[in-house]
Amino acid sequence: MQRPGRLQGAGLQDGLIRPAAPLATPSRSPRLGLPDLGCGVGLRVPHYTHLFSQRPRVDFFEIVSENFLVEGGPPRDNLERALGLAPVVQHGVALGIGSTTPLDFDYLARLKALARRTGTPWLTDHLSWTRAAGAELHDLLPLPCTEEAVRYVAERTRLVQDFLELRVGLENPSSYVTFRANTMPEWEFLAAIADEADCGILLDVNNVHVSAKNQGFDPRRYLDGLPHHRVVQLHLAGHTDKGTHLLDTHSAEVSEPVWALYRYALERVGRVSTLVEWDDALPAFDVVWDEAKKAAAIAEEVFGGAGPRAEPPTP
Amino acid sequence: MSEAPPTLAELQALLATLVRRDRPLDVSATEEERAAAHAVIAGSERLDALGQLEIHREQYWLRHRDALREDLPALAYWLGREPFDALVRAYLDATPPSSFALRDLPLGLPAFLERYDALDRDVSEVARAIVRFEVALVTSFDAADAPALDVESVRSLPEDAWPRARLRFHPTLAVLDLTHPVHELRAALRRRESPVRELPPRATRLALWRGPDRRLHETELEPAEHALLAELVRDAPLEEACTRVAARACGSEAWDVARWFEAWTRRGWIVAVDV
Ligand SMILES: [Fe+2]
Repeated sequence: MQRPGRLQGAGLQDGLIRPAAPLATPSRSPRLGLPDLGCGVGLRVPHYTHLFSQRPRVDFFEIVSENFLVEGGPPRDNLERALGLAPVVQHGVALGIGSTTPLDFDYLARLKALARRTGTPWLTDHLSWTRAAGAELHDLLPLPCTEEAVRYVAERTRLVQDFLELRVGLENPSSYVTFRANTMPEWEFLAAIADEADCGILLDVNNVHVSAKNQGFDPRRYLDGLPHHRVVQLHLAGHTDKGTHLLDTHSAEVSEPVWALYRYALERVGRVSTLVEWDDALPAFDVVWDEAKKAAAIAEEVFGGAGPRAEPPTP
Repeated sequence: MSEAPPTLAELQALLATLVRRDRPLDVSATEEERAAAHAVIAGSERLDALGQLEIHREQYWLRHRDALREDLPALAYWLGREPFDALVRAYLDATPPSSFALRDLPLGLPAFLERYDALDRDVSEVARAIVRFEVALVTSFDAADAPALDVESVRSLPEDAWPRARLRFHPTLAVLDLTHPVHELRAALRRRESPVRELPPRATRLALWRGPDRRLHETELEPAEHALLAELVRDAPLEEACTRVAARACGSEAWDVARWFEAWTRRGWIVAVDV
């Protein structure tokens, strides 16, 4: 049984969102042909009471998949209720696409079963590694930007996409470590992997800002250097200034430089699903939702009278 | 540099070792590790190689410590901040996280506490009881659902099938035999009552389950009821379980199987009867 079909946008049939383009065909369409869902917010437990009683008209929710890879109980109940409110997009933290341990097909099978239930139109995780030397580190650890890593990650991404039968979007992580082995900047690394794997990109604008400050590059060069049609989703979030570095804490409002960068990204990428992440020091739902509404208002300014869900300008 | 650069796997193994350190890298990294880190990490204007890695090391520690603190609030309270942190360091060191789910992180802690000897004996005894109870809360919270017992099919079972019948229980049901009433400590913490600093030993036989209201419930069981339920949960056939428990029970104990079964069914613990 699927949830009622109250969704709008491209590629929607009988209440399920499906990729508009088959995975086998490399797509040049904006967002790889995937729908623009508008501006959403992350689904977080402390907001449940408010959400399920007030039923706000949120464009879409993003869930952290791993929180729902459980057998039953309240997490699955609450997911069902959220599916009754808005489309749900799956975002993960445990894929470990860059880990040098074998892909975990048990995990992937559970992820796929969850995706069947949520009808997520694409599935995202991070361009990072998460386990090594027998330990799950539960962190998004950095990869050196090398040709070897491009080939390795692209190959695994293709396998994951084929297995899940879903378009995967890789997210640029916040970076804190500068490898001597780097042979290219991170945007070229991400672009090369996305092209070689024919996958999507989840562009976290805050992470670009954080990494730019920590690594000393111009964040606009990062945005210029990506294959814009592969960007299937954006992330916005707040960070914390630790003095020696910026830390991606998801604990505050989106900062002014990140809003400016978001505008810059929209001008290049076009209309694209945008999600506000907030995890630590989580405020009331309306505070987070206001951030999503602000993102929508900026998109309206950028795209003028183009109307909602219009196709983006050709880059 | 004549040495070949490390492979991706070697690089990740080095970083994982350093990230899992339980103290800051500027005091915990060996000379060899420092050299290895500097050989692969360039650092920035403000942070050198170890300084950059320290960001991930600190996050590793905080993420796991906070996850355990959230899942085991009574244990954290009972031990106090520093002994709790020391236990977490020792646990993470001896038992690196092996599941992608942070939810699984505390599952190995009951076994680890059995061999952890840094706590005073009386503190440790209570701690073991607490952790068994709190880990059961974690696993029952999101265990699988099960359809309710089909009462009609049970009624139609022939009399002579019962001795060999095995009862199937709800996946969320946990049957615990604890040395202290630690559920009362956890309840007091939940109600934010004035701190309990003493918890005298008292044999505490608990059943813990997720009710149809989706909340976790617990109830204390009589010794004989607990013994029988524990046998049945371990998959003993009905007659064998009754015989074994009756042989152990002293004569004064109330023995009221019909009343227990009625209560177990009413609470949704029994979900099927296999013959
Ligand atoms: Fe993000």
